Amino acid sequence: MTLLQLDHVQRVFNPNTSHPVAALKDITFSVNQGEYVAIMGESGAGKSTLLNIIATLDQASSGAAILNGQDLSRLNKDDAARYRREHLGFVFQHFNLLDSLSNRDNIYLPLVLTRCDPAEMDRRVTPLAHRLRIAKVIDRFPAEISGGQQQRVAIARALITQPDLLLADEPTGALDSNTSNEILDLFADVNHQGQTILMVTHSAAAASHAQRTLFIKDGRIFHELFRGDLAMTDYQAQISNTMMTLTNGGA
Amino acid sequence: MLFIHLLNSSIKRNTRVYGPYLVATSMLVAINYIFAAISANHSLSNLSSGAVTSSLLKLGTTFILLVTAAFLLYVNNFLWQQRRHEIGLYSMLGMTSRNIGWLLILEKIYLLVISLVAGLVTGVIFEKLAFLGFNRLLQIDHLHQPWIAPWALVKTCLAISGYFIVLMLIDLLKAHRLKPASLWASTTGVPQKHGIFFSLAGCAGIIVLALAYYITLTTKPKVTAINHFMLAVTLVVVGTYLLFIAGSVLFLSFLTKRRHFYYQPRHFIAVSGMRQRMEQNGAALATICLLCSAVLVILFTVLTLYTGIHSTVKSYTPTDITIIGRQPLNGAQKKIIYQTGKAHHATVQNLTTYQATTAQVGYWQGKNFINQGSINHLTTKTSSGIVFVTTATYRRLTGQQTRLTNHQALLYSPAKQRSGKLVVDGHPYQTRALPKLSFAFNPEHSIFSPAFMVVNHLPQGVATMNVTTMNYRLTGGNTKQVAFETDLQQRLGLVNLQFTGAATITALFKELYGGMVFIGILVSLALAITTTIVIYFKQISEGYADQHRFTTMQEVGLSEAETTKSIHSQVLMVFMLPIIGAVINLFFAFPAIRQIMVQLNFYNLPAMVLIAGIITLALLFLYLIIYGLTTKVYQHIVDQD
Repeated sequence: MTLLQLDHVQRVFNPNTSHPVAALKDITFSVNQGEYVAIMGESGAGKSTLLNIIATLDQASSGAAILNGQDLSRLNKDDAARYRREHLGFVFQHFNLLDSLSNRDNIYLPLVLTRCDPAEMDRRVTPLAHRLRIAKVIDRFPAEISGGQQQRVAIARALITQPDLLLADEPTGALDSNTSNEILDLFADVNHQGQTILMVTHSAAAASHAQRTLFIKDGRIFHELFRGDLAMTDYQAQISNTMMTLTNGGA
Repeated sequence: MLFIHLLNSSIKRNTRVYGPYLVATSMLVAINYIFAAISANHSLSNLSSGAVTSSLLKLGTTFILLVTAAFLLYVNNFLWQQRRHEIGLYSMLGMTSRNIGWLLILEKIYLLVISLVAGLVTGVIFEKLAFLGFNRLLQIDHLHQPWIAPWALVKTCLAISGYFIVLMLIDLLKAHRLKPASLWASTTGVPQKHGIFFSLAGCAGIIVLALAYYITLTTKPKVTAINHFMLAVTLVVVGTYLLFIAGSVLFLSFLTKRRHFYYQPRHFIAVSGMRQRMEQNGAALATICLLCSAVLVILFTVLTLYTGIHSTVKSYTPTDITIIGRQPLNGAQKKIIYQTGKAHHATVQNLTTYQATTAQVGYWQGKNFINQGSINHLTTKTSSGIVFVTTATYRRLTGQQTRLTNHQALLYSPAKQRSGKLVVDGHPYQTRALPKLSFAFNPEHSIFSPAFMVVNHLPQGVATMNVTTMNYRLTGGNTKQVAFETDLQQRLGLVNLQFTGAATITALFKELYGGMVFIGILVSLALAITTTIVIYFKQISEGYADQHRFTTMQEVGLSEAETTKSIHSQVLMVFMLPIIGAVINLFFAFPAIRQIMVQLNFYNLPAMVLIAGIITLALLFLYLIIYGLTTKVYQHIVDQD
């Protein structure tokens, strides 16, 4: 079943000036329920713009982005905010945890916004914290725990609403390789349990954990790779090669 | 040269922080100057009996100096947090601690000079304009203020420079103790942990405040009262800071623990945000609270004084004219009265004379009145006085048919009703309280308004006086009445203590209290402006601190409408606490002010409550306007990304 459908999405910045910038030229792809998709591309390829549109933080200039039957371009700002907290989960490169909140309260934040009952929050967080191995640090503050732990808290914050789609923007960008692997394993694990994930990255190692990788160049989908039955290392090699081709301007 | 360049660019980059900071310090400098200049103004202290005014000013000056110190410390800490990063960078780029020290010193000198110049210019202009304006408004002709009060200028400069030197030393110490790496490290962190020390500080704050309130409630208006009030004011300042800083910490942790309250969108964001900056929050809130308290108390006092003029005049002379002498008026003098009346087209009525003792001052020890003799013998213990009149006089003047035995007495004691078995000067009396006595007055015009005791025989060996009272009818307004009274006093050859005319006294009081109202309004205005700026500064600085937080929350799904709501919730919580504190302070100052008013023979409690209510509402109204404006500013900062 298709969860996310993008149809000829275009995004032009400063459209009515002498220097319009087309960040996305023509993007069409779909993501099925339960899929784990990575989007790769160099800096400036349009990855972030694409992610912002799917995240309802930005809107397409033309084309349609439909998530679970909802046309994202038809949401006004406040509806978009409500939609985000009910249907989307976010994981950012720099975690974006609030230093004024304890880890627990950071995780509760989206639930608080939906006026969830505190007892229900507690009920949901216990298994999640256990699964993400943050049960011990949950009542500390973000500044008191390591980067990997902070990212796990951020993942918990994204998952606690049981979102339709988990969006990850360079989730391992600020972490060392060991911690990165832990986080990526965690994503795979979450995906196995049915969570649809869309991850933007420029790390081949990160992308190799996904089932499918989309390559973006100059605002268009350039190529698509499926992992299939490949071993992770082989898949990673393929991804690296594709990236190389992409960088060297081949077609 | 490089330093100056660095400093310039740093200040320019941080205009949004330095701007409000400089405005706030300038305003504080201006207020300090205004207080100093008013204290130095001779025309004001000559206006009145002077004592009250200069006592109030002394209190005010101390108060404002304390507030300035607290505010500077608070803001300096805030500035330091902002600049840590930058100083860390300089240090990493190879600046020695000596260089950084110079940079910090230079920065302080910069800020000091700008604050002093801007503040003194503002202060001078504000004060002069205020004097001119109020002179018109209150029609006080004897008020003069030179453009510049040099000594006040020097005093203000010295005080503020002193403060800045302390701040500089604090900064140097901080810079010295921090390592470059930690300077460079991110400033975000864990909300400060608060242990037992904070609870203790909170308790200390409550104790200190309680002590201050106790002092204001128990201090009787004696000669030493001003020292007590000075102590009380200092204690209130210290206590308020302790309580707000520690109290807000405890209060917020309490709120955090109430899960159903805490885990609601608007409270969640507001409470956690405030907890992040609790100490600064507390200091700022305490400053706002104290400034509001000062405005309330000052306005309340002066307005009550002004309203109280009528009752004070009545206490000096219940009839239009009262004459006191050792001997009763003789025939020639009575003739003069009628002649002068005719000359001024005034009809003299109800000319009456009676004998009474002079006011016997002393103090109550339980049911025992210790007589210290005449007003010349008063000590710090002195608290009241008694005038004796005979039952015959009482019957004649009031028309009552009361009969007493030699051991019975009637007592009119408006300040505090007394009755039953009382021993006065060694004589036991069975006493009945009189709720009203039409001819009671305050012959010496002292702060010890006397009780009147009606007995069959005046006590032996006590000085007596003869009181002559009269009314007159004279059309043509106040000026003519004053002219008649002055002329009559001259023709009778009486000194001021012997002759009291209601019109003259009213004019005198209008002038005296007019001056106080003037100072009160001037000072309140200055304080209100400062309060506004402190609030504004707080909002701005918090807006910047919260910008990042709101961005993240909007990413997670906080809508704009909810952002607005939660901002209002946060701001409102921050706003209501100080105003509540200020009203509590007024509540406790109320009895003390009432004491003073009672000494001035103003017993109208409902009027005082009404005045207190009106100024509280007025302040609340002003406060809500500021609230609305600063919320907009805050929201604007948070929204821009």
